[in-house]
Amino acid sequence: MGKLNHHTTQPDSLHLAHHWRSVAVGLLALLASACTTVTIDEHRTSSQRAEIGAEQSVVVLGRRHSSDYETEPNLVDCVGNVLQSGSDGLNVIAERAFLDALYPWFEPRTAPMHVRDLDRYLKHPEIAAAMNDYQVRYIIWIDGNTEKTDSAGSIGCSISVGGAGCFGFGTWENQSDYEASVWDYEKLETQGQISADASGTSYMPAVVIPIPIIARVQNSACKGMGEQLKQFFSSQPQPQQ
Amino acid sequence: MNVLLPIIQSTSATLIAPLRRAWLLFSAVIVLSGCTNSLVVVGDFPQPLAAKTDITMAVVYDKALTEYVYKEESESRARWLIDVGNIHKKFFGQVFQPLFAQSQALKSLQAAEGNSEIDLILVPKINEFQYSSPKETRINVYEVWIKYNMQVYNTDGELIADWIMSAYGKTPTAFLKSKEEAMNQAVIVALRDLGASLTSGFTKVPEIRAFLEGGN
Repeated sequence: MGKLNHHTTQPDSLHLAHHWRSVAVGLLALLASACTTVTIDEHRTSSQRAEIGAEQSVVVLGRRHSSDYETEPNLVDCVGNVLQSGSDGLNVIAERAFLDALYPWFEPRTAPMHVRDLDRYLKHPEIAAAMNDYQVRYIIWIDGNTEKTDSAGSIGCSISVGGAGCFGFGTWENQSDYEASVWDYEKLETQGQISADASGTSYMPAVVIPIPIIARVQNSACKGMGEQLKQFFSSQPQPQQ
Repeated sequence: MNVLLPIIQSTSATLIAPLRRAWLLFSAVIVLSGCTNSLVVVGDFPQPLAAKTDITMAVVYDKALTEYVYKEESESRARWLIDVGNIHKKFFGQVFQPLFAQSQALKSLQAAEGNSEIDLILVPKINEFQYSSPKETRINVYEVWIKYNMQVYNTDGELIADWIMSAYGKTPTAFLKSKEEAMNQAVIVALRDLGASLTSGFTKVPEIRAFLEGGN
């Protein structure tokens, strides 16, 4: 051990302490994440797979027209990150940059609700030029949200001269429900839909210190949907040069 | 030791008094800031992607608009003090620049009288501001509604068009750090919504369209 680490400036004891701290943090992270169930459904409108050129891009946008919820920007970013990750990653345009560049045509008030509405947009030369600059091939609309559906238990905390502490047990359930629609901007048709339903229960036992055991429901829905969307595109052979 | 004691006592007294005052001031700030959520709306706006018209537009920024502050009066709601008006000059400047051949700022309608370089003068006013918080609606978003009265005059001071526009914005709280930040974001989204309405609908207002078709 000492020989192996002779190039480092840290003493062995310090290195071991760091090592055990890393293991402890890892174990704690494993223990502190509760289970999540994810169901992914895919519907393709044709047997043809989605073609995309190496130079073409996709943009992932959140639907924000509903009055009682809002598709979270961080979920949209997360799906975009999954799509562009890895060696088979796609060119993904960041939502905020796209919305600003094409302002105000993709705002909640003006955004196209149906793929055929894009035809109307192409009549504006400024919009068509901006879309061409981005080399947009697909628009992926994500609609849905994550919400707390149930909660139970209670935790009480108190401070006294002797110290402070909490005692109790709390639990809550989160539910994610998202649907992604893939629009082909070139052919002006819907390529398919992918839905992701995820649920998970988080726990918070408190004996002096509250320990949150969090079910990462939204993150699981994002990963599931992102990977499925990637398959939607990546399974397609690249067009011949 | 007996000689030193008065010095120590006097030094303690001179140190404790300012500390006590500082502590009282700090407590007062904490208590007051805990009561009222104070916000000056800040943000940036993109320029609209639209065909430029050959209109020279002037916008009147009177105090009723630029100094508009919403104060929550209801005892049953959280105390809010929202400076909504200040950002409008930046907003209209950014949105109107690509829409019109020229866009300029005026302090009053009278300042445009007889100015042959100006075609139209817009006088925007905030009629009403409303908001809802997650606590009230049980959904995890802040919502903002702003009702505007838009009046357009010619350089002779004649009213050409007078209509109401509403702007709506909402934002989820989950990714924002504070309720002030969430409220600020909701106002910015509402202003973006107003910009969308103005970009797609300003020249479609019947009276303005008639004015433009009449060759000014």
